[in-house]
Amino acid sequence: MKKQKTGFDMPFSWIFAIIAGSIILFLAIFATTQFIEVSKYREYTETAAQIRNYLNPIVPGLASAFNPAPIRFNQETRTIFDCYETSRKSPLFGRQTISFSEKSNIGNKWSDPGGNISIYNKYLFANKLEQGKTLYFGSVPFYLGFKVDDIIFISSRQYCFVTPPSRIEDQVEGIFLNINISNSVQNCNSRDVKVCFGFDDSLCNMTVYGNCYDVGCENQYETGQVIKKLNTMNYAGNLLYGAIFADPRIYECNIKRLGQKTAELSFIYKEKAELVQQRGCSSVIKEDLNSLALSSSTIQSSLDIDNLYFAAKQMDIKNKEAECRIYPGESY
Amino acid sequence: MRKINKKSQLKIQEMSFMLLALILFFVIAGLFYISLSASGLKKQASILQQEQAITLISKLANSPELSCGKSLCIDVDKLLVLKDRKAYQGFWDIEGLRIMKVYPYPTQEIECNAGNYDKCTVFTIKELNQSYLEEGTFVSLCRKETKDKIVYDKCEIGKILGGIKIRQ
Repeated sequence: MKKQKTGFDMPFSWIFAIIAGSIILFLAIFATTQFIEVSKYREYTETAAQIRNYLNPIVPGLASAFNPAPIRFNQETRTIFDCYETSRKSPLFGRQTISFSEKSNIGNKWSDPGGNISIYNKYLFANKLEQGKTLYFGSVPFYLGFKVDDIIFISSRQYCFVTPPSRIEDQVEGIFLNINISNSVQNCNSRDVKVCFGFDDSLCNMTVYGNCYDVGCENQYETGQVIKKLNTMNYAGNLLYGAIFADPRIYECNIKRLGQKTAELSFIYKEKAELVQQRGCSSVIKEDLNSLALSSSTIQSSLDIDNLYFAAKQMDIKNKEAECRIYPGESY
Repeated sequence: MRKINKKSQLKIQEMSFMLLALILFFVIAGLFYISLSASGLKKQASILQQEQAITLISKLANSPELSCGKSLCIDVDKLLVLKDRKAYQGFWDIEGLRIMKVYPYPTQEIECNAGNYDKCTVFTIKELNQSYLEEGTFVSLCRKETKDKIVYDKCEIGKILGGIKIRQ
């Protein structure tokens, strides 16, 4: 009876030790988790910066196309892209961001991505999220009379181009590792992204329609449209690759960024024309450069790219025929 | 009873001090680790930034804003225009950018403008205003000239120099 009254008698020091021990354990676990999170964030941010650095040497420079070795990861990764038409550091040319994350070994869960790495002087065409163990890169120059910049396309997936025109086939085959050519959509690997040229099929992931029938057109696909799900993206020249590989929002954002770049380059060439005129080298394209600058700086969407492209083409003809060429042009 | 209470109070005090010391130890060790890792992080960030600048500078001569159309050839006429265009200040992610004539000019630096382009030695596109390290590569510097009404490209030897910020 006496025993029942006293019950279980736990010394105060025990209770104190249990409470203090629990707090210490909780703090230790919390600190470790935070430490792992911070380390991962740091590691992923570093990887994104390394991808940015990898992009510098992959521009083709004066070559027509360039395809560097892909980056292979040990496990499934996610590379996240975004595009901004303007930025604090470079208000006129905007910026793009890259962030990175990978699948955790424990529980197959995706970790939170690391910090955004900003890129101001590149035009990256990719989906918002590229997921896989391999990241493929390719680069082609984009001309509007003069060279505007290089279009860099990034993808983690394999693409199957079905019945592309010979110009694209020649440009792609054996150069870009993640693009295969096929003469029918059924012959494509089932996991490939199927890009159908000139026809639509339920198996096609996107369709390319060329609409260049003008006398000055080298082929039908020089300008046209890429129809991806419910989005239509207009392209001109090598922007075709941008439209195929990019998310529509990133594509349209880069069109505006490239428009600003074209406008600035037009001003540079116009002022150069005025400078060299004083040395007896007179140019005939000053007015064309002026109107190209005005129309490219106000470009609203890819719908305007055709007009810009044909205006630049007319200017290019005049420049090529002139004794005093202001820019070297596509054939250099 | 009083004796037991005093003894347990002493034990609690001992334990509290022990815990306090333990926590203090972990805090100091943690701070030490964080400062070490922060310096490692700064170093890594600096290495990546330098890597980015070096790879960029080597390709910059072929960029549409500078190129004369041939490999590693810079258009001097474009440089004269580019000098005054503020839009490019944040475009290239480097701390500074200048192009120097190497030969046959004297070592003294004479800033170029439209009036002295044939006698000057340096084109500053982006001012270097921080502690920096200059990385560079040799290039041709070409400009349009006319002689007897014939237009030709006059080329000289130059060097493109990009500034890289060094983190202390």
